[in-house]
Amino acid sequence: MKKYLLILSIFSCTIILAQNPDDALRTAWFTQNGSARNIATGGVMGSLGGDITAAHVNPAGLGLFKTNEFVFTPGITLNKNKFNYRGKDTSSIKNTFNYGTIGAVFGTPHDRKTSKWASTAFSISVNQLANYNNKVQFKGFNNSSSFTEQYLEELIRDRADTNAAYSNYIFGSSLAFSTYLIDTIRGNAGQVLGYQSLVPISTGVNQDYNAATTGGYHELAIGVASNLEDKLYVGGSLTIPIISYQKDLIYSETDATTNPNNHFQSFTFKEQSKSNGIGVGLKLGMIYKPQEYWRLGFAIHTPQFMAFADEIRASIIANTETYAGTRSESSDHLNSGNAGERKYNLLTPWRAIASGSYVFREVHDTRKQRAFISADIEYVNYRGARFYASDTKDQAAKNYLNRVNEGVKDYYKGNLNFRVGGELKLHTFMFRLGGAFYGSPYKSSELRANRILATGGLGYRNHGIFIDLSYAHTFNKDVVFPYRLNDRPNTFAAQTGSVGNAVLTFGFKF
Amino acid sequence: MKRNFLLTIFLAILLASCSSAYKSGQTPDDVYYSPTRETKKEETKKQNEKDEYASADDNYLHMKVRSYNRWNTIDDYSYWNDTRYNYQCNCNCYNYGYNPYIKTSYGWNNWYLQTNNSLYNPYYTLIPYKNPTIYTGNTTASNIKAYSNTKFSNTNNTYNPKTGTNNSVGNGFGNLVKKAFSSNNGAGSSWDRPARTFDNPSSSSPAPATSSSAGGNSGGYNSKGTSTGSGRSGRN
Repeated sequence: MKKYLLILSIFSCTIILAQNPDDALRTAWFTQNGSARNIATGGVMGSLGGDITAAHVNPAGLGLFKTNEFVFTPGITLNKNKFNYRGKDTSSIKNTFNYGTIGAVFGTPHDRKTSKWASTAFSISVNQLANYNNKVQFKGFNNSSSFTEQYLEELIRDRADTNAAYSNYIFGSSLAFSTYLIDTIRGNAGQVLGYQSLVPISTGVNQDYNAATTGGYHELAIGVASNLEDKLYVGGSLTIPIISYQKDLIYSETDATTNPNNHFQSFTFKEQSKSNGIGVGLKLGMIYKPQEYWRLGFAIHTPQFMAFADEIRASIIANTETYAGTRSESSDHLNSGNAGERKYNLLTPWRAIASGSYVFREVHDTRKQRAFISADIEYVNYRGARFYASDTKDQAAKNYLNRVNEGVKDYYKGNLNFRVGGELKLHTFMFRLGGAFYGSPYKSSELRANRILATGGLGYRNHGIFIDLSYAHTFNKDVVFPYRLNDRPNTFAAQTGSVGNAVLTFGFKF
Repeated sequence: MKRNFLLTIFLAILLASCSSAYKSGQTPDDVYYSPTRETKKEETKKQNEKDEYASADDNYLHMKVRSYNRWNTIDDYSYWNDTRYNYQCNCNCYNYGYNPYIKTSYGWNNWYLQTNNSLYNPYYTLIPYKNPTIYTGNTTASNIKAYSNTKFSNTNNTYNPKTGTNNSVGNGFGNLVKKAFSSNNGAGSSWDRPARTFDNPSSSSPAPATSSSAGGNSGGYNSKGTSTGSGRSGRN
């Protein structure tokens, strides 16, 4: 039998685990990041313009530049997470560096004697749209379901025999099967009737989820905008999204009893995955001044087309006491020491922004410039994310990704985000306040999620330089699933807590 | 990382120190108003001639002191001298009536050197300011389908130590567990395990056979190598 399995395993190039809808959401549900001035005013940039962050929101805003400037924005993120999992509270802290908009704008006024176009501006900048550096930790008692049940569902629904169970799911089910964390259910004649988990679910287990994530969603934008008679501004950015994401997950279940004879003491599942993607997209927009002081803006972000290359390694160590003792298995062992690899393409959700601003006053003398207030409303079609096979001839891959896309459509919806902010300007000093609300991307109303921001900041502008300091406090509400099942109610951790984002922008005119 | 961070800040400050265009005078704020290059040159020239804060208002005040009756009626110099509309009379503009407060390349309010080099033309052109991989064999992708399961529960079941079961069995999940017994006969010697079984075959619709290729290459991850495992070893 062993010989047979060895031969079989040599010829089978295997796998499992997959892209999932969470991967798509990571590229879409994030709060506005940019220069300190932009962050301090709640992230409004749909109609305001005159800030390099416009290249990443509404490129038409670049059209307000007739001067040149360089901007540099380092920052610090302070994650303070709170989770409630099955009645038990857990908290975690993760502090990390980040950055906002960094780049340069070159504004060129035109000769109004010969052209209606008053000016043209060009920019090149990079911005971190999302910061993935975080720590997600929660634990709780569960006598309703087990992490291992996802493996049972997988093997049963795929009608996997024992050879497949051992060889074809080397990042999940095969690890559990190899360590006897899951085993067969056999009939009187020895035939396989199904699979069982060794977890004693009726007496319950203590579950512990611990994930450390790193990386970010960076965007390089090359923006161009034109200014028609200081009344209509049109612009576009060619964007190059770059995503780097790593996740180290350690998940364990431990017997809640002290019974040494119930065939289960504990298991620990470890997974290291990383995902790198690069792509291309467009952001287009316009700003119109219907009358003095007023600006109206509209922008649309096309889906960003991204190509991803992922890697994964996984292992399980399980102690089933007298059943099979302590055993371990790893994907490296089942795959000649290699990580699992996958390549695919992703179209991120499109989004549209409508905005209005009141700028008092739009005059040359900076001592008479007094204030602005601006508001954005943004629609993001979260359910519009789509995965595509990188090898278009691979029908199996296409079939699988079609199922992922169906999952995206079932699980997410489109929703609105709101941003509002303003500034009071006293010649060289500026005081700013803002706020924002980001709606839930989940279709189910039971999954409560949103992000509420309170922002503020100070600015100084003189002698050809400007220094802005901002702080944005985000109140998070989200859900995290440790695993998902088809035929039992799913359990999740309710996430609250906050993210503090302190950013300094230093810039100069040239 | 910290060293790179500090180095970048240092470079930014160094670059800023090289900036000279706006070291003196007002620093444009493009959110409110972005001056043209011509304006920049004039600003620089004016700043060289006057105090740091010599501005349009100062010019206006100087002129008002010199000739009060002429300038008294105007109260907003910047409004009338918006550089965005400083066409100097030779573009396609409209006449909006008498406005003597015009800046030309010859200086402020040069009454006698205006459009077409004509003498004294009180009508001046001005535009109003108010415009301003995967693969498979055969996988059902059960892990993905689970995203469509919209039943959620974060509460635990009530455990009955006598029967070794909990109330989930009574909630229709009885077929998802399997009773297990310990060889050691004592208290707590039976309990439920999660379990799933293949469909029961019947004479009318026999269950499909299980397969060794199930899940093969499924889920998106390709494996480069081959298994170095020798099959699952037996229990003790």
